[in-house]
Amino acid sequence: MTPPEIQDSEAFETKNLTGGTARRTFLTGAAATVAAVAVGRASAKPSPGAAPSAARKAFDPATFTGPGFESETGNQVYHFPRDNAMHGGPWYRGAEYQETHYFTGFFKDKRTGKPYSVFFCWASYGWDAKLGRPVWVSLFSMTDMERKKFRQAVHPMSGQLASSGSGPDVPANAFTAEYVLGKDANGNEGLFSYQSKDESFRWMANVPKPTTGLKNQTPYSIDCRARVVKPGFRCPLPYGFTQEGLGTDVANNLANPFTGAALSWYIIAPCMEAEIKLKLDDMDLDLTGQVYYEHQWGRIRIPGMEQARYTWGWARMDNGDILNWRTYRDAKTGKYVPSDPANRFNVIRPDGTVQYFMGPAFVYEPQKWWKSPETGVEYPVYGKMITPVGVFFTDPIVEVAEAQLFNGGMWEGAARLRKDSATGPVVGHSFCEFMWAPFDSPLGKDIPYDPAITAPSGAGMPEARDFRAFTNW
Amino acid sequence: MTISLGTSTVGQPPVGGPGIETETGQAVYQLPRDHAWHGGAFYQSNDYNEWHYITALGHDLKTGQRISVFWVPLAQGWQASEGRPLHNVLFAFHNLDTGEFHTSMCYITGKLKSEGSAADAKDFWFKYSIDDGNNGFTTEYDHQKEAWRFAGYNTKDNTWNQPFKLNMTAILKTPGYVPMAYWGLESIGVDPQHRQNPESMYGLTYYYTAPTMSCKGAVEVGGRTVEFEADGWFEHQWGNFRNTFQYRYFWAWFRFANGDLMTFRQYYQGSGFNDVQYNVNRYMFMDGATHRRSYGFGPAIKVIPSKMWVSPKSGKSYPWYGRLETPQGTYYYEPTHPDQEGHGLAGAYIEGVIQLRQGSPEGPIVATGFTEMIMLTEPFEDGSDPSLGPPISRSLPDDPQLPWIAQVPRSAPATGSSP
Repeated sequence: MTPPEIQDSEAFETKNLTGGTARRTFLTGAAATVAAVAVGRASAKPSPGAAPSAARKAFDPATFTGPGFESETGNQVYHFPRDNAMHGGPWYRGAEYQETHYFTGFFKDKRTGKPYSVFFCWASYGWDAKLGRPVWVSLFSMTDMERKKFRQAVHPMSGQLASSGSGPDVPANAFTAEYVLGKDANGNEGLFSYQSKDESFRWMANVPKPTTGLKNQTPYSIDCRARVVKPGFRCPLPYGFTQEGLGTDVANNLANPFTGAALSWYIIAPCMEAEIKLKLDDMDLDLTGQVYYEHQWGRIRIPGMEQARYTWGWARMDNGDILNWRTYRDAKTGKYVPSDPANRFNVIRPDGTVQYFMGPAFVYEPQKWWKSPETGVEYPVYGKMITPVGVFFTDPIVEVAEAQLFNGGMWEGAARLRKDSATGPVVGHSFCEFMWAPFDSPLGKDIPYDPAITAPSGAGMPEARDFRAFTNW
Repeated sequence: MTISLGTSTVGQPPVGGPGIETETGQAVYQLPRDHAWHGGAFYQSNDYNEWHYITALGHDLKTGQRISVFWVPLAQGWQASEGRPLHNVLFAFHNLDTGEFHTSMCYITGKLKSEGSAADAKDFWFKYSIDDGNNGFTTEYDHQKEAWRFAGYNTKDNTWNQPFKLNMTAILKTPGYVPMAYWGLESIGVDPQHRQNPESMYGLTYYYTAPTMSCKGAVEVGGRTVEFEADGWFEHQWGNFRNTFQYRYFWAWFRFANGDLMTFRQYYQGSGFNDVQYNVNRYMFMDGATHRRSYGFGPAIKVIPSKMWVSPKSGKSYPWYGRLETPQGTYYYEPTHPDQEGHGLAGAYIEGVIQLRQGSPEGPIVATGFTEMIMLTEPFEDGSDPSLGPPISRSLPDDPQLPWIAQVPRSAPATGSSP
């Protein structure tokens, strides 16, 4: 059947609704009927896959609950806008915690019109006893696409963290959260903020003296303001979260929705309009462009998990589609495993429709590898992508796009998608992330892993009275 | 308001304070309380759907013959005439050795009686029951004993309903409760617009199984009482998912002789088990010795029919014979007896015992389990699709905000340009 067209954005603007996947007020009773008649759909026959139907009958019952009924848990998976914040509390106080607010995008300098790509991410993870908080690392890289120059810096902020915000119980359009990392002894500082009023984010970092523990660090200063535009927030897979790490299931079978182990909550905003003020030693840029945003968090930093053995990317195609994929490699053989349950692909159509594909629906076949002179790691930056929407060939804008991490390297850079062959016409621009590193950063392990997460694998349900569901998974 | 986090290395509190989210986005499940049926405003919706499902394969204690029992009490949408969700129950009894088969659907009217402990009680328990004199059901759960009880009866006697009375206990055994589908969540059905919404549970279901339960009970059927013992397969699903093409699937579970377990669901769009949607398939395998799980998604699992069976009762065609391609190998499936068709409020369906052969359609039987072949496409009288559930169970105003819809923020962006 032909899906009806998505409701246009005007209707939402006039309703003053929150952006993205946020659940809105549920109209009941007469109010709903009036609203339905007002939009002219009261007599529509509901059908799966059809546009949302309106009220059939005014009815306003008392809330159905009582003894034996669960009315608090098992409801929505996400609460927006509050889940756009960083997460804390006892659940996320430990070495296993990891959270990232990430963007990559393509820009033009307002003054020169020259093209650049930029990547920035605040990564919060584990626990640093000295700092009394999780580790906060700023990850930055940029490519001067015309001059084929790549710069990067990865720096753990050691200043005091101060957070502020509206609190979670404010109206959906009044939610705010801000995190300020005060200056450290070398003058490095940072900020991350979000406000629901206009669905805007801000990433700031001033890193005049990045850590000397990593190679090829570039001093920089960045101030990125970005605002979510259509299609708003979305999950990259239909379930709302994903398993992170091929090794998890194969070696340890740890993924567990009861303990949160090895599962990552995962939100994207594939289109954000953005402006960046960026200063490097030899550049002073005033950039405007569009970024792709991701927010992940969970108890995913777990021993035995090979969470850094993946190839990930997104692409903005000339036909208006936005593609996104993640596929894993076997930690021992280095070979891609399309059948891995975490293998996934999605395509967002120009009208905002998202189609999801799982498992071997997406296959990445390396065509040519680039070997890093710094880390010795080989990255399959030239590849053939067999996707549900066609076969594409990818190649990097600049081969040298490796960022230095505390557990190895990470290739994070701009690329192209071509059709027909490795030298065929370019049909899309992409950002790719090739991770091939051991388990994790050595930082942030001052609080032990939750024993429930690190329990030995295998089955064997305890006797009934000691039973705890899923404990061994 | 600003709060600074401490730097002491002793007794440090977790990260908290303004701007830090400490309640949401944590565990997906909270058991045992999530064993209960769900209520409250979030699920007071026409799209609400929840069930406690169990199928058991065992033997008649008197004759030694192999028998099966299927039982699923449902809670669906909202039925204004009853002031509660629609509660009906599907039942089947099958003798694998003789082919005897009885089916029934309890359409139960009257007030639901619910009882239970506090949600955080150590001795957590609940009990639900309705009895209208013609039909009834009871569901009980006792966390201390990890024991369930399923009971019910029907007095109707016609083509699709045979009188029965069931009383069965089910005790949880190793490996306990296991997250299904995508680690506890399933994107159920096919939505051509892919509007599954994890903030409203539109098109999504929480989903776990207890693949091994020790079942014992008695069923009065066919004019006698059959006392039985069996191994049960239990499932609990709930969500706001009566909106996608949810009733177009081929589902099954299998128990192999060596203890291995397998389950999958393959989805369809359109009608007649023809328009396969492999991209949303899902699969789980559990090693019988180690209980290690393997998941597969999308085209990793394929059901490929080789022969259809036409029901003499409903005239519907079911893909009762075929090939099953899985990450663990290829098997050939068939029914113990094909005529295991029941009838719910939305039409006829197969819920029956299925078996796997290895090597070829004539190879040795290596696993037995249960299948659901659901292809409910005939519209209700009001023209609505069966996947929405019967109109009597949709008496609330529909919520147009359940599905995810592409949108933009309230104010247009002031900056930026495409690369």
